[in-house]
Amino acid sequence: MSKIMQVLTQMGSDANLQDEEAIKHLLASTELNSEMTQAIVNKDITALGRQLDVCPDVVCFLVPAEDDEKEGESEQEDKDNIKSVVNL
Amino acid sequence: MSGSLVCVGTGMTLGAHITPIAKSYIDHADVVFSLMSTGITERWLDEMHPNVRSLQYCYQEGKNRNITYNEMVEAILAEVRAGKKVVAAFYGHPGVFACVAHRAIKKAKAEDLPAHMEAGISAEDCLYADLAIDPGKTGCMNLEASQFMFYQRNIDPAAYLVLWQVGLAGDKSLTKFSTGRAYRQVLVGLLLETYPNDHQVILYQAKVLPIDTVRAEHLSLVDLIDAELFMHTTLVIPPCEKMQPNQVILDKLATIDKQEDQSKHRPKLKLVL
Repeated sequence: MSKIMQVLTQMGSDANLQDEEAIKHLLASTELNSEMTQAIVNKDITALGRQLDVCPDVVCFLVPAEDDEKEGESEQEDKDNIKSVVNL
Repeated sequence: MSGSLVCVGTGMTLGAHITPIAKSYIDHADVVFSLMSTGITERWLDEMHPNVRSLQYCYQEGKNRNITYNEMVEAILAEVRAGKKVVAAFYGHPGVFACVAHRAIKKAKAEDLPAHMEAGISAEDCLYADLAIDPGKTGCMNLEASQFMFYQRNIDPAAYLVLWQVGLAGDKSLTKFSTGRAYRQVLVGLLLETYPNDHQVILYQAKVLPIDTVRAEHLSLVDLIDAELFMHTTLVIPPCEKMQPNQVILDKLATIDKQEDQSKHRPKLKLVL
């Protein structure tokens, strides 16, 4: 895993890295380039994304307002599922 | 060799929420499909495994999202049918306001292929923590924003109402990535049937990166029309009324309590032969 992902993972998972001083201390001891360090200190996600050259336009919709399942089809399946649970 | 499918969630915040079991499934997979919410979290997952395939390519503005989701399911299932140990990793919880994992598991099971889901930390979970809401206090109804508009739903004004994907509220075509002011005006009009004009609502966005900040913007309901909404913005509507006692039920329960109490204090009968 790259240094920057290690740093972000550590920041997300270490209770001792939840304040700015501790993060600055971590960054000082990590060999990240100065632009990435600055992006983290400034909480500049756009700059960090540019540094990492990641796609800025990610779609995150995961549910349709209306399912394309045919009416009645899902109802019957639900009934079947309930029956199999009851039979357990 | 039979393939298998496990759908996992990576949680909302990078590094903070991924569960040990989700991480372990990813580590031991032959193929990992990913649907993350930002480019940076997508990179993070890419670096966890040598064979991670993003499903982002399936999205296309102007294309019905049901087609997109079914294409994602097919891409996942093709590898399971080929005998691979497949993990589909979704941001948040794989099965909360996320249809791809449910559809893929259902289809795999219909083909007698082993498939299951592991829970993850969802945006809803983060919302309760970040906004200090206990859904058990007054109740909480979660609806997809467009679905709320298309169907006649009974809102309880004494409970929280949470509308997801509010940034594309009213998109009947399922082809848009955002809807504008006119659509939002209809949504606000619908909400005004229940809530007052100046009712304070909250625009919420969970923390995705450790350097992110939570969005918890309070505004009047009518100001929602011109508010800045993104794909991942959620609308939280607090109750506008107090819970009203259900006197009919309370009276019935009091009668039962009284009967039980009387039977406890009834003198014990002895059988005399």
